[in-house]
Formats: sequence, structure tokens, C-alpha cells
Amino acid sequence: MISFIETILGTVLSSFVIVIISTFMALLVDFLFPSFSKWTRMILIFIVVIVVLQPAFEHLTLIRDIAHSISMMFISIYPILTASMIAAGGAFSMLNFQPAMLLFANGAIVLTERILIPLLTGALIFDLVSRILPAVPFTKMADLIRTTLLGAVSAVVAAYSIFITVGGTMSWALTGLASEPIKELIRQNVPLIGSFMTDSMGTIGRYSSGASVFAGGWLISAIWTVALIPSFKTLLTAFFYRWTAALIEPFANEDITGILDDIGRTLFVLCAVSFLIAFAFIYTALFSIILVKLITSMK
Amino acid sequence: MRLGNGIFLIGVLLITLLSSTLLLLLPEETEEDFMPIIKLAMGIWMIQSIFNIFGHSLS
Amino acid sequence: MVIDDGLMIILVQSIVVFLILLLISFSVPKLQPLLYAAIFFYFLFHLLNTIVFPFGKYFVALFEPLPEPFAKLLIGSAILFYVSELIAKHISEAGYGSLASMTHFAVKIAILTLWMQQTATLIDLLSKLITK
Repeated sequence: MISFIETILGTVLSSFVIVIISTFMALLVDFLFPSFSKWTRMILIFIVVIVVLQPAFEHLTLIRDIAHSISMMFISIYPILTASMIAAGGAFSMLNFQPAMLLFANGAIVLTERILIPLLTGALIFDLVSRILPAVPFTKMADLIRTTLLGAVSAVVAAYSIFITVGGTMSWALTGLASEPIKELIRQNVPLIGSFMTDSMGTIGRYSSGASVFAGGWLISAIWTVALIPSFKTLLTAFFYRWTAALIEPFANEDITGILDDIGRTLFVLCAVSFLIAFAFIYTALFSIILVKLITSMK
Repeated sequence: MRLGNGIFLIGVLLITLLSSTLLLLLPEETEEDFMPIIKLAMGIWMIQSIFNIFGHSLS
Repeated sequence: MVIDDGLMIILVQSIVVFLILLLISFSVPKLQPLLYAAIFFYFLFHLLNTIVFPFGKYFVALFEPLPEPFAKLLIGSAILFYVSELIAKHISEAGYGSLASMTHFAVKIAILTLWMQQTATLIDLLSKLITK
């Protein structure tokens, strides 16, 4: 587990070490040349932006690439899936699979790729610009974009859960009392998207536990892992940004900590967006698996 | 040597106390100029303590 | 306490110094800058010896729980900074502003060299994380 975290944080960690070292350097220069402090601030901001923005953008492109490949996969697979579903006849009516749901899930991915990720990049840029030149602020715009994105994502997830629970077949399991304290813990400790995370996890969990009757438990958990690794990675990186901001706040320029904090917040929203993708991926994968199982068992 | 949590907090507290007293003694116009040294002290203290607390898992 | 005894004497001495300076400015106005500088430095070192250094030691002892270099370094650099500021002010009052800022700058570098060892170990620690 530790080594897993280390491989994720490897590049991020080194860039934060560079940030800390350059903060110390700026302190020394500030002390020697008080009249140079405006220049020092600017140079420091440039260093931080160059070093720190790269991992954030890497995550953005990572999520975007995943969204792109999944939507490509879906577009090619959708006609086959629907056709075979019609061929399979009534076998699906016992599970709550609707082609409309599939279309919806993957429409969300197209939405993510085309609109959400570019908007998120915009929020990041707006934050950065308003930190570099505080006299010309774009903070309200960036905040608006973030909250709008979060609202859109939670609306989509709410629609998912309505789709799934409306049939009533999937509503058993995983909402037991045992998971409540963990949910509460996540809800309180992950800023912005904590409650969203638990809700969407509950939705996916309800859904996949229904499907595990057909496709063994290990397969379900494998799909879960594959789907959630990007989200988990993004979440960890976002936390790392905020931890570093908290750590260096006493001795660093407040613009620097502000930049780190803003990037962290944007990455949290990105994590929420990536949940959307994970959800659609899980749905599509389970759907295909169950379809294959049904077809093979019918023969 | 493993510094506990308590020593870290005591250090932060004492450095704050010490530097605020020093800033009282210094004339007002030089306070700003002396600030980087205090920040440097605090930074070195924090990073060192963090390394000492988490050092085993990091290195 | 040592400081309390010295304090009253110092206050009286400062008034005496002030009176002497007034006297000088009336009697030998041409020599006034020179004598002023001499008396200033003499009084400054006297002050340092009787009040500032004992107080600094007392201060360091007060913050004993703080691990070794920090209290000494902070107090030492504060005293050094203040004295350098004072001397620089005196020099610039005499009309040599650039010389004053130069000496102040040199003392700042000296203060930073005091901290350099700590900073160097820190940067070593951090850079180990990168190169690992």
C-alpha cells in the first residue's frame, strides 16, 4: 500500500520539494534585499506555477484521455450491445438494465470529455491569473465554474441512482448499518465532494451487488478497482496539494499557498468528475459481462 | 532521535513567543525587514520536525 | 536581578551623555560630529555590555526547552540586526547613506551565514527526497 502511494506521489512529491526549497530561497533573498521583494514574489510564483501546475495538468489530461477512450469504446460497442439485448429477449427484464440507462451513462462521459474537463481547466487558469495579479481577480468566476460543475455532476449521479433504484431489484445490500460510520467519516473529511463520494459509491455498490449474482464477486471487485484507481489517484494528489499548502503556510508567501490550495480544490472537483467516468465504466463493463454470460448460458 | 508530537508543538509555540517578543523590542520600521528570519526559523523547525515524525516511512 | 540594577544607572548615564553632547555642540561646534560619533559608539558598547548581552543570555535561558540552535540563533540575529540598523542609521545621519546601507547589507549576509548550516542540512534532507 505504501509503495503504491509512493509511486503515485513520486513525481508530485519531488515537485513539492522544489516548491519548499524555492520558498526558503525566496526568504533568504527577501531578507537580503527587502526592496526586491516584489520581484522575488513574481519569480517565486513563476517557479511554483511551472513546477506545480504540471502534475495537475497531467491529471486533467489523464482523466480526459480515459473519458475519450471510454466514449470511443462505447460508441463502437453500443449497437452490438443493444442488438444482442433485443436478441436475448426477456432475460434482461429481471435485472434493471435499460438501454436508455446505458446511453445516459455514456452520454455523461461525452459530456465530461467535451464540457466538464475544459471548464475545469478554465477554472484552474482563472484561479492562477487572479493569484498572479490580485488587482484583476477572477476568483468568483472560478468558484462559479467549480460549483456549477459539482452541481452538474451530482445531478447526473442523482439521476443514476433514480434509474437504478426505481426498478427496486437492486436496492438490497451494502446499505447496511456497518458502512454508515465509514460514510460519515468520508463525508466529513473530504472537503467539497465528501458527501457526493459516499452517495455515488453507495449507488454503484447497490448496483454491482445486484449484478454479482451473475458475474462473480472477484470480477466485480476487479472492475471496481480498475474503474476507481484514477479517481483515487486524483483524490490523493488533491489532498497532497492541500497538505503541502497547510504545511508551508507559516513561512511561505500567501500567494503560493493560495495557488496550491486552489489547485487542490480544482482537483477535488476533477475527482468528482472522474467518479462519473468510473460509474459509467462499471455500468458498461457489468452490462457486457452479464450479456456474455446470458448468451453463453442460453446456448 | 525521534521527536514526538509534543515537542513539535512546544517548538512552534516557543518560536512564536520568542519572535513576537523580539518584534516588540525591534523598532517598528525594521519589523518587516526582520520577518524573513523568523519565517526561516519557523520553516526550518517545521520541516525538520515533520521529517523526524514521518522520517521512518519516507526514507 | 542584574538587569534591574544596571537599568537605573544606564538611564542616568544616558542623560549625562545627552548633557555632554549639548555641551559639546555649544563649546566646540566644529568637532561636534566626531565627538558625537565617538560618544555614540562608546555608549553603544557600554549599553550592549551592561544590558543587551545579559538580557540576551537571560532570554536564551528562558527558552531553554527549544532545541539547541533556534533560540540562540533567533536572539543573536535579532541583536545583530538591531545593532547594525542602529549603526547604519548613525552613519546615514552623518550624511553617508550609501555606506550605511552597504554595512547593513554586509551584516545581513553575516546573519544569514549564521543560519546557513541549518538551511543546508534542511536542503540536503529535501533533496534526498527528489534524488531518491
